[in-house]
Amino acid sequence: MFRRIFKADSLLLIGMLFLLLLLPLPATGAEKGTGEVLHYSQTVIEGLTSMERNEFMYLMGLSGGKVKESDISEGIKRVFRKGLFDDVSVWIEDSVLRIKVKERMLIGKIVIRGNDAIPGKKLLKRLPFHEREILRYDLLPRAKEALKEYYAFRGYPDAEINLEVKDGERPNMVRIDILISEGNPERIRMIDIEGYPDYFRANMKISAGDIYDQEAIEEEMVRLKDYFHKKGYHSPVIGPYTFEDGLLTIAVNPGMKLVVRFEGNTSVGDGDLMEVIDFDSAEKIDEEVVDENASRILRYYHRKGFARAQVAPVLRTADDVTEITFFVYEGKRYTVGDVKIKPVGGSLDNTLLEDLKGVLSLRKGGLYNPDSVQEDEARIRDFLKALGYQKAVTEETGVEMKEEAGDVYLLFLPRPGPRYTIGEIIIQGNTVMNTETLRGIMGLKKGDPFNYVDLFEGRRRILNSYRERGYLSADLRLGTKLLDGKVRIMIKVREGTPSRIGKTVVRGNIDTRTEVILRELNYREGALADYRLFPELSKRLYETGLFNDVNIRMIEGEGETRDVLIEVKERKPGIFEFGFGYSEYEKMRGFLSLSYRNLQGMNRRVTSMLRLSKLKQMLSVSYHEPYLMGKKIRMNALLSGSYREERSLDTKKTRYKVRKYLGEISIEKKLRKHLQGKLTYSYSLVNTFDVAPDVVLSKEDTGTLGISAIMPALLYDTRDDLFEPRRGILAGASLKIASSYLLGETDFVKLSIEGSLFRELTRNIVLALLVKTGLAEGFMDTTDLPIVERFFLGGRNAVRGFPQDELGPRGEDGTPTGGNASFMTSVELRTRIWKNLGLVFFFDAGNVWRRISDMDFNLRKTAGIGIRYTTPVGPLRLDYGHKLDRREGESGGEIHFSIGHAF
Amino acid sequence: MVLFLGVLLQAGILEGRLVDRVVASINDDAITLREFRAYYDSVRVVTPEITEGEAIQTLINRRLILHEAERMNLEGRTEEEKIQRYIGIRIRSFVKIRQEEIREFYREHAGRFRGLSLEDVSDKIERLLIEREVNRRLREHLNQLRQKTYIKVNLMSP
Repeated sequence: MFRRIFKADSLLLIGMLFLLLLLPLPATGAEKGTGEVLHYSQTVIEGLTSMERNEFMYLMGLSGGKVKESDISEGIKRVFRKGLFDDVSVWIEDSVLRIKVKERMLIGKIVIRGNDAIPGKKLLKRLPFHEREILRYDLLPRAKEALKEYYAFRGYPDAEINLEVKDGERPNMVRIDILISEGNPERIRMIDIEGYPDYFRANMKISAGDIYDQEAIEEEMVRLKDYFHKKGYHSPVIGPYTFEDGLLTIAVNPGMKLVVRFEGNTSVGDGDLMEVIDFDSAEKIDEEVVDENASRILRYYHRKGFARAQVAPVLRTADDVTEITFFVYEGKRYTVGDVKIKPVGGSLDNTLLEDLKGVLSLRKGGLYNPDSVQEDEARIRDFLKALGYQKAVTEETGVEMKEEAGDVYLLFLPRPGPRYTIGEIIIQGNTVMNTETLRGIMGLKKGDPFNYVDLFEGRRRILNSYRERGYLSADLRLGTKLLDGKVRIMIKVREGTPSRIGKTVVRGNIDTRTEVILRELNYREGALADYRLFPELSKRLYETGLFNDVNIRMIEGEGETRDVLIEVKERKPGIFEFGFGYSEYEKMRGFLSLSYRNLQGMNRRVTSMLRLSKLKQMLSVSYHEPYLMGKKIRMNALLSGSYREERSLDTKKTRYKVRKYLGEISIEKKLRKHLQGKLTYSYSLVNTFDVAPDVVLSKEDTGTLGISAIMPALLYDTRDDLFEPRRGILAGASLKIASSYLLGETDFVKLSIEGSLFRELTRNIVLALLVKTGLAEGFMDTTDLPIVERFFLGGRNAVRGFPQDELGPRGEDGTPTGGNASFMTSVELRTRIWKNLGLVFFFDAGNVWRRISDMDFNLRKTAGIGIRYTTPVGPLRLDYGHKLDRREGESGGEIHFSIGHAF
Repeated sequence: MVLFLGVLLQAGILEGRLVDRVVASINDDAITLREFRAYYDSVRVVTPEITEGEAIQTLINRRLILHEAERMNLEGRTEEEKIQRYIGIRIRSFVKIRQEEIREFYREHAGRFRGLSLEDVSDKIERLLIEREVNRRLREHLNQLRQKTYIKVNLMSP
């Protein structure tokens, strides 16, 4: 007997042979930190072109002239994760460490030729590889096969595909040339439609003589199916099709027509009921599908308060028509008269009973849905369990229907049972954090109601705390024991060893140099392996503007050191943009911009831009360096030439014209979390001409003037959103000092201070406040600032009751002259009224004074209303500003249209 | 082992001493010679007849499964635990043996079960059939994974 049983067991062993596929490990490979220590005085790397030597050495862990053999193995594995190598081998001879690498090739470009019948884009989609991916030689035959199959599908069975790999533009890049000889296409000689030829004769897009293109045929079949659906056929079957000796045969079976009727519904219309039912997703119409739809209708009536509604479907089939009639008895509509909760076999205090009522979906005065009774019973049970009543059940709910009044009185009968509270929380095995700390993190204490949801949430919190401290393999075992109505919680902590961050492997960066990514790291090698670092790092990398996708993770492992893998997908570095718009001041305007954002793979950006409108033209070239001399200091340089005509919006009279050539260089540094400092030097050559005589305040207002200035500035920004701020502060101050000592021709100091505050009053209302002032003073020979430097107010962003730049002192002919001092304030109440649409109510006040000494409290006031439509780049804005202190000859107010908030 | 000696001997004559190199890669995950050698030596203790070619393939299979387990964020203290968890979720949980199959197996192997009723061996047969089916599906699954993975093996010297 035993022998026989053994035989049966031996069969089991045969069955376990699958283990051979995965042979369990008696030992898990080579151990870290083992092997001979190698001493070397020189490292020679052969065959490396795709990455810099420094990065390779860093990833291999080679520095200092000695290394363990096991660390070499780790280095090989690490460097392999770059995805750039097919082989790496390390040799040692006479204290020379020789590393040989065999690099993988990148596909730089795929060129398709000879494809007259099928566009290249469609063919590229069929390939198992794409540009900028690693070349896999094993995929080349598959690619050839895929293209050949696709050509055959499109009616070219004799197509020949020739695929060649050639040298690319860089040493580690290749170009794949695909040469196609399409051959003669197969053509349709005749079309035979089985079952329904009429439609085809009239409407088919394919006909005899066409290429036997199965893609076109299948599209046609989909179109045909839609046609039958629209004609009321429920499940038309189109196909299969065959093709033999030029004869295309397509089987068509339109199936049955479906007609649905409703009888007896008076409170709910047919249209609403048609929305409720769903026959489209059913493969065929049978009793089961009809009953399911009757239930849907019934549930719909229940939700509407028709508690006694009944639905009876009748299904009739005749010839090619299926007719379904739903006979509906609606009955009376009921509302909930009152809801009471009466504990059975125990008591619950009144506060708790009120809380319980709060979680129910059935409430006094609401529609009575009989289907909600059971759901509410479950809610009561769950609520009680969360409060420690682990054995809570509910008895059948009392439902009393007052027919005449149409009211329903509900009596829920919970049986709470005993309430369990936490007796003791015993934590063992913890050394990193003491027991009190862990209890605090867990959020549970003695006397709290016991429930499993909170217990598991506490476990999750503790594990997270351990992981934040680098204990990635920490584990908790939970145990509970009931003692005298109290639950003792026992937690056994297995902390493991803390993990630290090892090296960082960056992959996917083809154009971008690795140091551009590594300089954004917010951790150092050896820091605790804290996952919370990664979202911030990810944000920083996206902010470089270089990547479409960033993925950061710890490389799996069991050791104390975890390497980090940053995988990026690069955006195309070249950008061409253009746009046009309309403003009430400039009328039609447009721009063209060409930029390259990754010069030398270092995230250096160069942009050339042309802006054009009737009143303004500007051509500029700018350069942006995100890390000046390896420090996190941004540098911007700008060269521009522009022409501008300033006009009065009312009289269309030219105030002045300016031709300006500007050279500017600035450096920016983040000083604190929200504080940024900036220092700018600019030299501009300004030629002002055709100046209205009454605007001329100084000799510098006409002719050519060189302005040389330095501008220190500070910016404090805590806004939550750049385009649609709901809370935070934006404050800035800048000082412009222009002087002949800086080789300019004019001398002045100009201070601009601005502060705005945003507060969310309710979910749909935001209060925004702005205060802004400008103060300027000439020195040496300069009294009044040149016109191009003076302050002006009025327009879409400044005291909106006035046209552009029209607020402030005026010349003898009434032309605004601008001044050396300005002040404005604005209050906005930004509301959202529906989806992306909002209304804004605003009040602006401000004025411009010729001199600082002229400043007084005489502010011009406007109030207004605006419409906002939110878009991803800020709201579209239409404002009307109305003057509250209109003077003779002034308009009543102004309309402004633009993009983005006023401040 | 002969191969390793060959590699080392050749290396010693031509290039100095080989410290380590890549013997196989699964996408961007490398198996080094040192790692493979440790694995091969240890599996030969329990499966002496296994060849290097078979061993490297089983090691690749393990990596394929581990990569998938990591992609699914499966936890486990050891590689073995992760592999078993993955097989449990991805393969074993889909295997169902019908009573009819157990009866058929019993009928076909009636000679081996003489004296034992179907009821006596039903559990064992079920376990056997489950393992057999898991084995079959696992093989299929590994083939699918291999299809979409870039695998290179280079056991020979560089």
